[in-house]
Amino acid sequence: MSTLFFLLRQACRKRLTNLFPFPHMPESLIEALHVVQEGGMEMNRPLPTPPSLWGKVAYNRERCTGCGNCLERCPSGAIEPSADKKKVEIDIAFCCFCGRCVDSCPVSALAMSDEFLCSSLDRREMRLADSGPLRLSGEGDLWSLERKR
Amino acid sequence: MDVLTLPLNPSGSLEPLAITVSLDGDRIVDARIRHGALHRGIEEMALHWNLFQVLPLAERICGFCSLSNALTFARAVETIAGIVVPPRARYLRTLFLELERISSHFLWLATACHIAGHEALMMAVLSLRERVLDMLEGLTGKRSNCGVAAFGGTRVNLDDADIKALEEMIAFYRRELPPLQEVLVEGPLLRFRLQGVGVLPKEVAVRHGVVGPVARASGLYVDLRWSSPYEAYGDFDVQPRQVSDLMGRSRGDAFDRMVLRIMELRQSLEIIETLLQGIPGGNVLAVKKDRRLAALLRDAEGRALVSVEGPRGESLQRVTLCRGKIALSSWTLRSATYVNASSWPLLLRGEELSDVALIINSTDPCIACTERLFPLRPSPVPEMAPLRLSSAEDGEAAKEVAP
Amino acid sequence: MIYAPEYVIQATDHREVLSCLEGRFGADLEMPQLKEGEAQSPILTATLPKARLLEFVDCLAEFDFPHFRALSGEDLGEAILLHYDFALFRSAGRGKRLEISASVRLPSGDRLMPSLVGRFPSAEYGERELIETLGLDFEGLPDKSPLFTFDDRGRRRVAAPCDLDGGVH
Repeated sequence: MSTLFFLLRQACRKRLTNLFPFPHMPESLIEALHVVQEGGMEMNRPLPTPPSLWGKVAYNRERCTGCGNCLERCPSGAIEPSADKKKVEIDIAFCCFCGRCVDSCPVSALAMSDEFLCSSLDRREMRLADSGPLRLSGEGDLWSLERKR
Repeated sequence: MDVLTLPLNPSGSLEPLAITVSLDGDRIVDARIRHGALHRGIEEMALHWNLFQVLPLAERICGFCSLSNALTFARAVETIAGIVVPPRARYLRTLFLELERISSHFLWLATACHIAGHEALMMAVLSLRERVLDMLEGLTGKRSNCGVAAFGGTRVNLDDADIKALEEMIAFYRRELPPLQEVLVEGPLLRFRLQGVGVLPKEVAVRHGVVGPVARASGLYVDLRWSSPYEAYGDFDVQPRQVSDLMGRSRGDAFDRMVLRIMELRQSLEIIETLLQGIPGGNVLAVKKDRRLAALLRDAEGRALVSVEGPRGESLQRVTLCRGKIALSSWTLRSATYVNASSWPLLLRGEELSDVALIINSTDPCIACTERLFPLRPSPVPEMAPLRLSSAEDGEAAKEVAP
Repeated sequence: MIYAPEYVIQATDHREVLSCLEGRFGADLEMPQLKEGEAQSPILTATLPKARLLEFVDCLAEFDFPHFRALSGEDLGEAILLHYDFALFRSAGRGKRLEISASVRLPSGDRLMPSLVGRFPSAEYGERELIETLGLDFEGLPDKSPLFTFDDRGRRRVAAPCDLDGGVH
């Protein structure tokens, strides 16, 4: 009896998953996306992320002094020296999101943004040479945000 | 007697294992386990990397004991280099180890429900697990593989809001666990399915040297947190949980392993609650400057053998550092499943064919830990020479690092 | 030899274990050392010759059933260093557990070790792995097939999915 009650209560609870991009799967996803583009209906947005989220790494090229600390720390070989050897380039396709480069940067030229949708059809688009001034959603400037440590 | 030899493919046991069972009718006469589907030689690969790169690699050996593995490695390196971890970091490490245990045990419960055939219960358990994952995401930025460990401390710190959120989480589980326990332990759904399946008697458990919840469910009074306390476990009372305390007796079957894990969930909550009351202030990193840490690690030399009680049992690492380089000269990993796996043929003998997945999963196997998986790079690369791209700061760096 | 499968409740003093081992093995026990400290659990390390390994284990069993933790090997070039890790007094009380690390040095020509599988069934995986990684041989090990790699000749090779259906057993 208690099992039945437990499962019924479970069934009535608010759903934890966020169905993306639509609450119910349409007949044709492409058509539905076209309708969204024309403003006919709305997409389910991704859930808001906590400000501490480790998303795609952001790189401030202006601040970078080219010390090379991040090159030594990267376990997946995602960071490479740029062509002029003064700065670095980051290949997000190789990045394992460990955040050690951010820790090691003496001038805070690297940061973890809260952007987590980072898929691409072209691998070359995943190379990051500069992300410039970035804003966290609602939290202000990424580069001035103090890390928790 | 007609014996049928039947190979079970990985999907038959829900783990990347090849099991060959000899069957007499529906009963298993003998079982052979074949490993190797995941083996990529992570230990050898790590020898080509520097220590800072190996720490995230250790984190990624397994998704659910990620902190246990990384922390074992970090503690081994600290022991060799003589780095003393500040008290606040010791408490934070303990906190995250317990959060990881909660997350792992919930996942195991969900898997057990799934294999026993109760999808609704599985979803219920997974929805409860969501709370601790949200907590981890809020504290560290990641739901699993949360890079907490660092040499000489932790990478994350807590503020008052975090502590309040943790207290709310404990209150949430205090409210939600008793009904779940009633359904799983006293309800008929899992009891009839799991009782008497995969019995591991106490004597066999001692002889095979099983570790972790499997050993405790067989009635062994063993727990590394109790018998050789590490980090902050020495500061408060941690007793190994025993099924006989709750059920009156222990038989060492799959049901007992489930009961024990539910008891350990409650124990973890108790530990976190006590820990939050006495969490000391101060730094979370022993060595703040990266260059000083690098110099310390470069001078370190020696061997260390360190083990941590992970969610699945004792996770053990033997680390040897070589002098003059920030690198390993040998690294041995022994996870809990590596030890427990030797008892699987014994557990399977005499059971029914349909229970194979249930029995193997009742020991909470982690094949990735056993076979040391997850290379981040496809093949070993030569160790990176210290790179200095620009001349700025070079003079200062050389002064500080030079031995 | 099969020991009584039971853990003791009363732990012997760690120093007493050390002095007993020293008395029994004399000069054969090289660099016996007992490390106790705040930072780590008590550990007893020693190096001993290959011929006395089984005797050493039997001596440990007089105190408590030794928990076999791990067997690992290190290739030093001129020799192979094997580490046998045990734990005593596993359930004898808070902070009472004693780790024992016995190292055996095998010169490069020698590849044969006595197997511990008769005493500890869980030693099987460690020994089989050393057969395939360091090319050792274990006397008395019933199943010498490779553990993680699939080559019959013991060569290291990355497993491919197609290997799974054949099998060497």
